[in-house]
Amino acid sequence: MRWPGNMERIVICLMVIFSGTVAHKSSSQGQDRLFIRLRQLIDIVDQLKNYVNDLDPEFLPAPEDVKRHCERSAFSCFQKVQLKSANNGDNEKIINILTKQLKRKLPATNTGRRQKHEVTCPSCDSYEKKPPKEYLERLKSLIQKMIHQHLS
Amino acid sequence: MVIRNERINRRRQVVIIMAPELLILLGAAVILQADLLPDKKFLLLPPVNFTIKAVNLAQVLLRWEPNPDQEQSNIQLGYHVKINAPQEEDYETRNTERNLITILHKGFSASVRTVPWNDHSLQASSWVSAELKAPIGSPGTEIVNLTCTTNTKADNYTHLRPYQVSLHCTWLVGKDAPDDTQYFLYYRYRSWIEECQEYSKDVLQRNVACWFPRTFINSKGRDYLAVYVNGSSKGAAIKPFDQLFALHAIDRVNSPANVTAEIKGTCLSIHWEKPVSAFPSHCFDYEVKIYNAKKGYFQTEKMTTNTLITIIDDVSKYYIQVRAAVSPVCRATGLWSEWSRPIYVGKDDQKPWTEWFLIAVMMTICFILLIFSLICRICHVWTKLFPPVPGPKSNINDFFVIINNEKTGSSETEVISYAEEAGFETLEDSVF
Repeated sequence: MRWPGNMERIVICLMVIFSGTVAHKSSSQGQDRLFIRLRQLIDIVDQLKNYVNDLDPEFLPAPEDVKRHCERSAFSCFQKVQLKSANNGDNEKIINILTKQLKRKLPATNTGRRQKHEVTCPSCDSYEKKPPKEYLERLKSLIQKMIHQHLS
Repeated sequence: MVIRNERINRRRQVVIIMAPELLILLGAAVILQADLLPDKKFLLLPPVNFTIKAVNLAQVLLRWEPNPDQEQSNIQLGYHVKINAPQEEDYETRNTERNLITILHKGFSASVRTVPWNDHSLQASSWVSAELKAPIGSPGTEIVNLTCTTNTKADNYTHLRPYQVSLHCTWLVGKDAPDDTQYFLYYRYRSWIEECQEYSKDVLQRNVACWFPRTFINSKGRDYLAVYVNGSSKGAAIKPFDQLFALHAIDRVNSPANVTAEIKGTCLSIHWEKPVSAFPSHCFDYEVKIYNAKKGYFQTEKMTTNTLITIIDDVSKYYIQVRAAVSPVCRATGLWSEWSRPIYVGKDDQKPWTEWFLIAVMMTICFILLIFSLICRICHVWTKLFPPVPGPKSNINDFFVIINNEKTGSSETEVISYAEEAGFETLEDSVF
């Protein structure tokens, strides 16, 4: 019965090594994925700015001067907003596509998970509301802040 | 006993039957009451005690209170604040006060009204307005054309703030300001205020520029820089002036540091480091300018990394310059830095020089040979002009003697041949 015993040990060792390399790879790539996504989001916001005149002029929650470590929570408040187009035109489709891309969940980072429990961030309802143009500007400003503060 | 039990049972049954009916009636009454409310037309009343107060340089505090006569309901209320002057702006908030950054030298005016926070079918209340009057002063006495620039320098003294931001502002004196006017400059960044200590003056000893070697400005910050200039004069009340600057628009980015280049074969590799700045290296965009000295053309490349490797097909001297800007990924688009000091790489092409040198040498050799040949010809002419006359005659006599001796005997042939040779030699000598 020696043979199966050794084989099992080898298989277990290989699995441990494999899972170790995969785990290490995923943790180091998490930061890069977040960085790539944030850069994409800046492009999406710039594109949405071109269609600002087609958006419903309703006031939207637009956090400004967000507390440190509350950037993700503030970003989710930006995401919860329903960006509607005022008139039904060709631009409606583009706006919907861009809005969908904006609502995608951000890649997580290890530090993010830890700090969520420590800091209580303001609820989305408590942030002030701004017209769509300023909403997009503040969103871009928040993404820029997230890029150079957390990825330096 | 049995009858009593029956009665009790009946009562229980009645209660069981009646209870849900009572509940239904109660529910209906509540719903009816709720239905009655919209018929009343819920009115939103405007806020009260709306005040505007200047709390700092270019900063005001707007304050209001909810109307005490407002009916209580479960509808969430918010406030729509509208700024009328100096620049129109709108926003909605649930707070009853708001700090606002704005210029004040033109006055400030704003209005507030109550709005439903989530339900948009309800109508908003009427507006309530307030204003801050512009500061007193004779028109035309305030400064004009205020421009400011910031610059980042490394600070080796403290580890807490490794970078220091300096500020330089210039302005022009108001056209109607008296000659004895003196201006004073203050800046505010967040809650820090400083007065200028180093001024530059014009011909009339009036301050026209200001220099702060160190400031409280954080170059990575997103807050506006507020600059305030007031003045004093015996002749007139000087109007103060204030202006807000966005940091990304006035920041003079430093040039990239330690630009080095080397050529290995046909490969030109250029390397540089991020400029002295609080921003990390992934926040910079670069532009590299390569000038080919031999062909005289520029080549520019846009980069986001710190190294450029390019293939060159020319042996020539290259002049290289690099400039940087903070990427739109990290900060709103700003200005490019100055070009770095040009560095030279590569050797000047040796070929033209050597070619010319060889050609010159060949030409001089040819020239020398030509001269020699000319001189030779001249010499021929010379000898022709002045031939040595006596020489040949004496030899001809000997020649005839030899011929006569030849007939007598062969023993004398050696002497004859020698004499012939001697004769020819002298003939040759006389020619040359």
